[in-house]
Amino acid sequence: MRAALLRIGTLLISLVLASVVVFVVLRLLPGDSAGTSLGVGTTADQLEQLRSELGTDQPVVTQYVQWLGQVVRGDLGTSFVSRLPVADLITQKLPITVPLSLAAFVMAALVSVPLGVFAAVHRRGPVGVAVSAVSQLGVAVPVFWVGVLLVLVLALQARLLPAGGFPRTGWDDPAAAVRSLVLPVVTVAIAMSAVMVRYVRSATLDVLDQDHLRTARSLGYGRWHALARHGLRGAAVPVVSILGIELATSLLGAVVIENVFALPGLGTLLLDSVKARDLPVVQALVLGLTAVVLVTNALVDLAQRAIDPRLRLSKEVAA
Amino acid sequence: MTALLSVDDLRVETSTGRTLLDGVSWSLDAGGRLGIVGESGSGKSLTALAVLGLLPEGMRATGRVLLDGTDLLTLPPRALGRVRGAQVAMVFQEPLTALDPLMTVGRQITGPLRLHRGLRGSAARDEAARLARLVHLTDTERILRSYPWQLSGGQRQRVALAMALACEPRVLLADEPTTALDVTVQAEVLDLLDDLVDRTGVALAFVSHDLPVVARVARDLVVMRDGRVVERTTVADALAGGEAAYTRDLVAAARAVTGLPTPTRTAPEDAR
Repeated sequence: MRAALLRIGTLLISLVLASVVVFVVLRLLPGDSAGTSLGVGTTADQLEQLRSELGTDQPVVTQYVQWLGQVVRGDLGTSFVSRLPVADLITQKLPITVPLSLAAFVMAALVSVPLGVFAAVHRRGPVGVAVSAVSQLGVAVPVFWVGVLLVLVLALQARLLPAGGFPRTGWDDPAAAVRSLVLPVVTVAIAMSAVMVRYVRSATLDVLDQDHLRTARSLGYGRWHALARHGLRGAAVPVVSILGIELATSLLGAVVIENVFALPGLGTLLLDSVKARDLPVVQALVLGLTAVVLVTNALVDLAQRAIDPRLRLSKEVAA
Repeated sequence: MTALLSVDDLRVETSTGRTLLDGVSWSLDAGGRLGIVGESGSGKSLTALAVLGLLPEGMRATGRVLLDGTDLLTLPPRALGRVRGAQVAMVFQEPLTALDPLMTVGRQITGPLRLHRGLRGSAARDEAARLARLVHLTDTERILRSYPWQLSGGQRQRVALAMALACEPRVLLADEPTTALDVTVQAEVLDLLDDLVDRTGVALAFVSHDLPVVARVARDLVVMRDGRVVERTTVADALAGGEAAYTRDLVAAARAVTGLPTPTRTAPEDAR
């Protein structure tokens, strides 16, 4: 309990540090949102006026404190470009990006955990060798290339699924929304599975070599029973940490893959906002992604402590 | 007396064709005490693993391992699973790695009780506590709730013994069970093993590189070298001067290092 609180404390400190870094780095970038939004041929007076409206003429520290105070109250500011609240802009995009990355993550986990365990147990068999080889290929190939290939075969040739875009009606037409997400989800899932299957396989191989698994066999447990009872828990410790990393990666992967499939999600919003120097949107998105990564890491740590008693108990005999 | 367990012309080869065990034969009577000695690499541990069909991947055993006339080498995996732990159990050299670090000792002992004897819940816990007392663990409640890495080396090996004896096997294979322990703890565990064999009537095959240790618990002796049996004799005869030159070398070496005593202990038949 005490350790869990401590971990949450560290998480809060990391979040504050991350917000400072995000804020400062974005101020250091060349380019000025006032200049970008007004375009060529504006007078110095007009620029000054807009800057004071946007608050970008204030010292950086003042800007940061104001911004952080707003963020804590749930106010992410107003877009320089569209003049809409940033929170609204982001909320609109969540129904695309969140299902995309979560579905890809769940699909990848469901495929790669059993496949990785199987490939480890049958490491010398044809399936084990094939899984190793294919996953190696999967790691080497870029995500967007997989996406383009799937579009070519399944959308343009076989015409089974849309090549891109998202229905204007959104989730009001669930069938159409799901159809437009299938290819992007599969693309991200393939890329993630390739990495995950390798981690699961090597974690299981480590466990299979351990003496206590042989002890379990010597007591009469079958190969799979022994692995399930004495192996998977141990293998879960490194696998949980890679699952955490991959969950965060699936969000970042969405940025690239939304572009390939012309999906108006968070990734597209981020790219558009960077191009337009729309600072409030960019910093809210970057901070949000960073927060997701940090929170996931904290959850991974807590999960590992729950799995492995050596991480939470002393070496003394149980009380 | 008919042999309970007999190993007959056992050969173990690697997938690359290297021969690791060559024509190993010995037998163990019900209630017998067999010591298997030899230097490291002589194949003594491999013999024990081959008996239970637990050879590392890529090794193949041929010959016969007869338990009451049933050849364990040709037994299908399910049937072999019913022999392991229930009829023939094993204790390994390094108790820390031989036990699961992520599971409490209590759950590890109740595992085979549930698997072979169908005990669960409080019946299994009570039996685990009885077994813990059988291997002279004190404060059993606390120990059963602990993880292996929270125990001392001696306690861990006692736990491993309790697991192995949980289903009252007829044969106990002990593979260097005291080698990883401190000398004083080693003596305690050997006394315990000696006592357990007397009390439970389990037949013991004790594998060790250490002749004085073997001499404390075994009566019959198999001397191995380079994957072959050099001599089958008794501990008493070997100490009196074995037939094979290699056995005499082993005895002389052990005497030079530790001052090996002449055995005086009585045969276990009249111990109970």
